[in-house]
Amino acid sequence: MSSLLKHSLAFAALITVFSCSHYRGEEVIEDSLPVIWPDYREVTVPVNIAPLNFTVEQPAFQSPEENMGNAFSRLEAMVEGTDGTIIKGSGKRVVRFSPRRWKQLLEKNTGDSLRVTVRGRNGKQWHKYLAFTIYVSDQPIDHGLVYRHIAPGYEVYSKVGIYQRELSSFRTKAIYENTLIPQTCVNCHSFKQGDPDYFTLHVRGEKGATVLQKEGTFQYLDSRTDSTASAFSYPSWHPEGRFIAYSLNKTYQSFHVTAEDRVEVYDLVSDIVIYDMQENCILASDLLTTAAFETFPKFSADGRSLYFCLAPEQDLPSEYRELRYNLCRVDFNPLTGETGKEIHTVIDAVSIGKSISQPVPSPDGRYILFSLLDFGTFPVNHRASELALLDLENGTWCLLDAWNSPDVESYHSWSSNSAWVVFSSRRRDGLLVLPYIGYIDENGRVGKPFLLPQKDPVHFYGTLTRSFNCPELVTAPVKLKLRELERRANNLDREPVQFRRID
Amino acid sequence: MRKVSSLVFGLGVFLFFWLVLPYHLRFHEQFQFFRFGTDYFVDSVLHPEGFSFYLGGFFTQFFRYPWAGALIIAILLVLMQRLVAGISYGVTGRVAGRVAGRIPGSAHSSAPGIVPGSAYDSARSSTPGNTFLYPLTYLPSAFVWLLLCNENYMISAVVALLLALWAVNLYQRAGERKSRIAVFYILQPVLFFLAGGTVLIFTACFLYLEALRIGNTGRWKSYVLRVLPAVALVFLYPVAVRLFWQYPYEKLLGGIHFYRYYYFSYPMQYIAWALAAAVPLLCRLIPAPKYGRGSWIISAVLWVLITAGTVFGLFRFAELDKERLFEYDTLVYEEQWGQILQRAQKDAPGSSIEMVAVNLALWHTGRLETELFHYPQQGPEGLMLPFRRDFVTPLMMSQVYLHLGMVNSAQRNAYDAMEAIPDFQKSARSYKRLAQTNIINGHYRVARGYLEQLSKTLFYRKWAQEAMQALGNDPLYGRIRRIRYRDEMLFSPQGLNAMLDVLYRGNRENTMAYAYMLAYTLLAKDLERFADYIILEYPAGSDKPLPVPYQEALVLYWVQNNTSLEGIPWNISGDVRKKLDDFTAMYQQFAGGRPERALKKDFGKTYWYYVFFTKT
Repeated sequence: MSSLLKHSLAFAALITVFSCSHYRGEEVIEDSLPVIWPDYREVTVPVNIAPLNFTVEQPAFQSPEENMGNAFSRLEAMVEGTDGTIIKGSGKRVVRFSPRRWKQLLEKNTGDSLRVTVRGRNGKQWHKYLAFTIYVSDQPIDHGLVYRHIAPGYEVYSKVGIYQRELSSFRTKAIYENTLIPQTCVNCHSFKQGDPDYFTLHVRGEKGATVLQKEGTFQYLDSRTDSTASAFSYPSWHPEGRFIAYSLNKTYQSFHVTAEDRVEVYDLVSDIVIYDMQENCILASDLLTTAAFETFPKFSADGRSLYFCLAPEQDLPSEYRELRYNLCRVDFNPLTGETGKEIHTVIDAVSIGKSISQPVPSPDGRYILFSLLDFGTFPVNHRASELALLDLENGTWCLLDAWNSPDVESYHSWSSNSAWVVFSSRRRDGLLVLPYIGYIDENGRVGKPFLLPQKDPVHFYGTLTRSFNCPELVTAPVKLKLRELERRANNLDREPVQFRRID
Repeated sequence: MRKVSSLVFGLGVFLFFWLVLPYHLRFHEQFQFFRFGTDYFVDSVLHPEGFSFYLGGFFTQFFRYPWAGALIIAILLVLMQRLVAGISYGVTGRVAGRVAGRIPGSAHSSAPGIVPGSAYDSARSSTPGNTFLYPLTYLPSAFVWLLLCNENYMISAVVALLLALWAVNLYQRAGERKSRIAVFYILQPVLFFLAGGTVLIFTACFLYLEALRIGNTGRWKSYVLRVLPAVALVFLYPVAVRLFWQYPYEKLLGGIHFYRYYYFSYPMQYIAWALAAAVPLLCRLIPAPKYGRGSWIISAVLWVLITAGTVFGLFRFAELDKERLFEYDTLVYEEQWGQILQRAQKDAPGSSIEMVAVNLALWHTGRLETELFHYPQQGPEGLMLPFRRDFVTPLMMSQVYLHLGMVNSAQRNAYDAMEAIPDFQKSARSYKRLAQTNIINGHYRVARGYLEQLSKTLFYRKWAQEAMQALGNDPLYGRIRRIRYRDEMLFSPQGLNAMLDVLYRGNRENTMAYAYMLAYTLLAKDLERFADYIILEYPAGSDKPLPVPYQEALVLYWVQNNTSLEGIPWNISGDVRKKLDDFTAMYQQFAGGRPERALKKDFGKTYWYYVFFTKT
């Protein structure tokens, strides 16, 4: 009897062993790189980024017109650091890495690279692909990303909100949603060099006003005056925190009739003013409030210059294809808030048949990143919009080919250490604007950008109906005084601003 | 008897919504986008009131077939009535004039109230109390029936009400006092999260049901200790929820998804809440009449009053004008052109948007050029409505633009219509249109996104899957690609006519653009421009037969600058010439009075009548 039992047990063990072997299936070695989405192959990432979870597409589904069909029933990836640390990720549809292990791996391999080997199971067969590399920069990225979620619509908006996403994790939190104060919209969130203690935001609508939060104080400003064309629009904080440059825009939209582009946005009026928080006063200079179109102001890193875009007046919308902006600069006095008497053209884009928009100086003062279009303003609506970099040391500029795509690249924000840029792109489907993060070194060389990672990118981006609008990097969590905002808005408790000409 | 009355009530609800307001139900269906799958479920329910919203969406998808929608509403309202009846009669408690569980008129009928903890305290009553008041249990359902005549009162509100009533029933059956109280305090926060402010109904019922249990025992102190936290909590739940979600306090109690217009309140719905809470209490408090026959009479009067009130309310609240508008909209959506014209002949269109539907149907049935003025035209807006920031008009115009080949405009209108839905929801109808326009424009990736979502629905799945297979090979799309704009330009809302001109000249195959262009100038009474355009297809001296309205317009144009029709370069028939003479004569005859009335009978369908007597 005991002999029979032993034989039975042995037999059972054999069955188990062979079953496992059979279950594993054969492994087919593919001689190609895996086609993963998002494409994290050969990207450079900050040491403190959340796990780069991804899915794999089988080679047969690589055509851009095809659905992201993942025919693999199981995915696995092994990530090996040069220090020998290995972590594994897996999933049915998406390869997911443990956040804790991912973090440890990156920290151990800062300034080095990771080797990623991917395999997918199709039926009983595993397909193992060639390994690819992810580079880990020793430069961390800022704490978080603040963006507006808004549908890529036309004249009507539905649910709109400002959100913050912690970049080292997948945690996302609403800063403000328009469900709180109905019939409002929000835009133009802005921070002083990424510092959320200095925060401005516009709430639009009947109860709207400009929110100014500075070092714990909260203001709800009615920025309309009899002397200005409109309420505040695009902001730029002065590095010292007393002044904010705002453009004043009367913005209109027209709509294209052919398939290439959808919307054309233009200003019928645009000026630039300086808001003095200390005096609660708008300072307006004749130089920047002309009939020409002055817009997108941005202070230099040292606060002694104000960059902006300037276009001669046009008859709009009929001459919309002739509307082109140069990149200009004017001196700025940080003690008085006054601008200089002369406008300097930094890049004459008009002469080369181009238009410049959204210039953003790097915090270290070395570069200006801007959008280059064929014409017009508001680059997010122009497929031809590309990112370009101006080197302020030598005055040369170039297109950032590694960051550009056949579709729109537009709004961008620098990290506080000037090593990272987050920018908007419609490259995925031509409709939704998504945030991409790119590395830039001290010589202006850029690394392959990568899409903001998500826990399940297939589900998240597959069901996304709203764009990531105006992504801004922040150095710490944003704490908006929501109850104060709600109370002031519902009571229409808005502070008026003063106005003064400084010429 | 009770089952019969429920059946009759349910049948009434069913027939009403199926036969009187079927297009209200279609209206509901197209402004929701319920999808199967855990993703949508999780996204929906992880919000305050999310479960009611989810279930409401689940039911609403079936409104695509009005008979199914009517049946669902009937079932929900009957269920509501039964739940109210269950609360009114299903639990032991002190009932005015008698003690529950004891038969009226018996030796124990004047005995004191129930002793807490006694068998009577927990036993379920087996005899109905105050049955003469049973008709009152229909009041909440009947009132909700009236509310549902408003197309903006959402099914999720009905679901939330039902959840609250069901919670009350659950609490009632919980047995002993401690378990009953425990059940209440467990259910209360859960109900708040699932169904929002209808937790007020649950709490109100709890307050008085517990009070009734106290009766004459005098244990009011323990009552207060038992119920006070419930009252406090119901007002604290929104405070807690606001730590995680951004909604106004009053919305969290008043309903986020109960009324389509999120930024407006709909106070009428709270009457339904009050009735749902009050009716069971009334059934218990109102004493039975001393004479048995009195109960019978009161009951009959209540039946009559409630029935009459409901019928009166339905007459008052059922907006048949809106039903007609929704009908036109649905028929356009389903491309039932013949039915549209039949409808218009039965009942003249009352608004520009209805005329847009009629004119589109005229085009599709080949009658736009000949019968344009057989219908009460109101100006060019009845042909092409300017953009309005609502969620109905742009959808209608999207249909017009698509068939014209103005694909970007069709897309824009469909998108903005969806964005204009005031409760932030998506629309399956819009998604379908957006998938189509993106396919036509070659934006396949975007189209796939819409189609993938549609394939998670019950009734759009087949279409979406077929569209994904074909992706661009549909003959309709091919035709529209051929006739759409070739050269880039900006849409001009003030120059719609010019836009049609460019469209037509870019592709002469676009006969709809030509017909609309001419119709536009006629409706705008712009005869100069009409004369410029007519020669593009009907050059002077051509033998090509001119539709009668065109002839009428041309003769009118001619006589403005000439004394007679002699020399008119177009082929005007003898009938039209004679008719012009007759019109002129009659007009002069009645010029001092009301020529409009006199001329309507013989000339009401002429272009001349439109020009002289229609204000645009």
